[in-house]
Amino acid sequence: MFFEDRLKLFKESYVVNWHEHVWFDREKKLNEFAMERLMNHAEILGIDMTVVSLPLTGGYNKPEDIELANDTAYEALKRYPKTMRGMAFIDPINGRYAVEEIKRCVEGMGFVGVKLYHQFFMDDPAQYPIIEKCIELNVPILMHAGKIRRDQQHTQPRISDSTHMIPAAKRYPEATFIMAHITGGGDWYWQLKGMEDCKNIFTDVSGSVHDTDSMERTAKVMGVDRMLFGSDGSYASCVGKMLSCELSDEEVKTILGNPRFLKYLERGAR
Amino acid sequence: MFFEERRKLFCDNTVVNWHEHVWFDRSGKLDEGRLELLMEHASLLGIDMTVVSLPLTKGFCTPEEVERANDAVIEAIKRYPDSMRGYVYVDPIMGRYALREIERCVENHGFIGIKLYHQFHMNDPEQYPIIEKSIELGIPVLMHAGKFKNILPYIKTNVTNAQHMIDAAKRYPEATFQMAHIGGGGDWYWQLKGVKELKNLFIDISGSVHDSGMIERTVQIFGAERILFASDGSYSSSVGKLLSAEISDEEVKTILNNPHFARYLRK
Repeated sequence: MFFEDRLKLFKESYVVNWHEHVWFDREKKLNEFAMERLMNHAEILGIDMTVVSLPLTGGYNKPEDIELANDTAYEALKRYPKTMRGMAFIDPINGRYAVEEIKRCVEGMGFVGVKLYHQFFMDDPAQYPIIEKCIELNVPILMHAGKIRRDQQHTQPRISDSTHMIPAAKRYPEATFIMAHITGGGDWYWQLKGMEDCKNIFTDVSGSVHDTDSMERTAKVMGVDRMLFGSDGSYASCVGKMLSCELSDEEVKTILGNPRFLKYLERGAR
Repeated sequence: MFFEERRKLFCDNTVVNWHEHVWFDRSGKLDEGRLELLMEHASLLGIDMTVVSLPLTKGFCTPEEVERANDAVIEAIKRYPDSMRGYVYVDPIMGRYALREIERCVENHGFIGIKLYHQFHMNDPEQYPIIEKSIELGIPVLMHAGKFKNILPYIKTNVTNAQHMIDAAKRYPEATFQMAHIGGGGDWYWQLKGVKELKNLFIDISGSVHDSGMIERTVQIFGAERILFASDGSYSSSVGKLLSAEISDEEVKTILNNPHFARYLRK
């Protein structure tokens, strides 16, 4: 009965999924099948708003490729104007054109945040103009993050962990950072160290890991008001860890529709 | 006596160094001390024209970093308007802005070629728009190249070797490619395979390697008319290998001032 009661929270509360994706199909067009399945499941579960991006995961990217990714995400947003919002995928290697792309997506297309990947660490000076633009436009930054083992580092040599998130957050206290998927793989316990005092770092609960105590420990260190519901392709794990975690219903509701983040949704798709 | 007579060829003929660099100092400005030393030595040796670029060797670059590098070259060639020319350095990751940077440097500042590094292989589709721009502007493309062992297999660098050069040269017969430094390290003998028939593929002799037989073999395969004198930071090796090479004085003269490439200096 406990799980079923918890599942009701999804139906009764306003639920925002802050970390999801749309993808290209093989012809580099919007993968409609994957998107429709995503939104269909969101509806079944009672997720009211899904925030998506289309990150390019292969390394550094040309401005043209980034624009195509964001245009494709925008195409998805237009299909679901009431239930989907976008985050602009940005590669700092594009320098000032990366900053221009943020402006194009946020002001021109109504994106609600910026999604960064592992091209540069979060505290790399290459990120500074991007962080500053996000402050100016009042949008959060979602950074792909994880504490991976040293022998895995060749796959994502510049993946940010909390030691990169914390200096960036301290340097820019007026910026809002989401350290992605606390349960996205790697050492989540390690990721929580030093997080108590960084009030402008949030984390999302997405990822396929659902270790015992991962949610409880995150809530203890960061507080539920700094946790965001997210799935990042792992619905079963992410809904499951909300159902089974030993947090109060009120706490779960805070994570599901974090009130501190609702203001960012006001900027709708254009 | 033989070396001294060969040395005279440098003084008696026009000599063009097709592969050199200027660099930043520690503060990120043009390193004037190195520049002066380079040009002083060029003058002592009888090198009349030095073609420079400022490549960023760390990996992928932002447009701003690339522009700063080319701005430093602009500053250098302004100091030596009669004896220095520039190649514009670009990173294909800049996409359409790489083409804009080539135009800026060639059309506004008289650069005479394009310098590429190891972000992408020469035959990578990311290079196609850059090669096409070089054709449109009638300028050569200098690509950092060598046949290296895979020392660190998990660090991915896309160093071009002859195989990539040949592919690109075949795809774009109207482009002119300068395969960098046959003496730049790696297996130079391997680099000479399959290049014989590609008339739009040139090679420069720069680099610190001066193995015996290297220049002779390169002349045998490429012919002196497709070889360019160059130093790339290694004056002693690059001058020395021409002094001691067992090729005719006429061939040395051809290498010192390659007649096909001389046209680019007039731009």
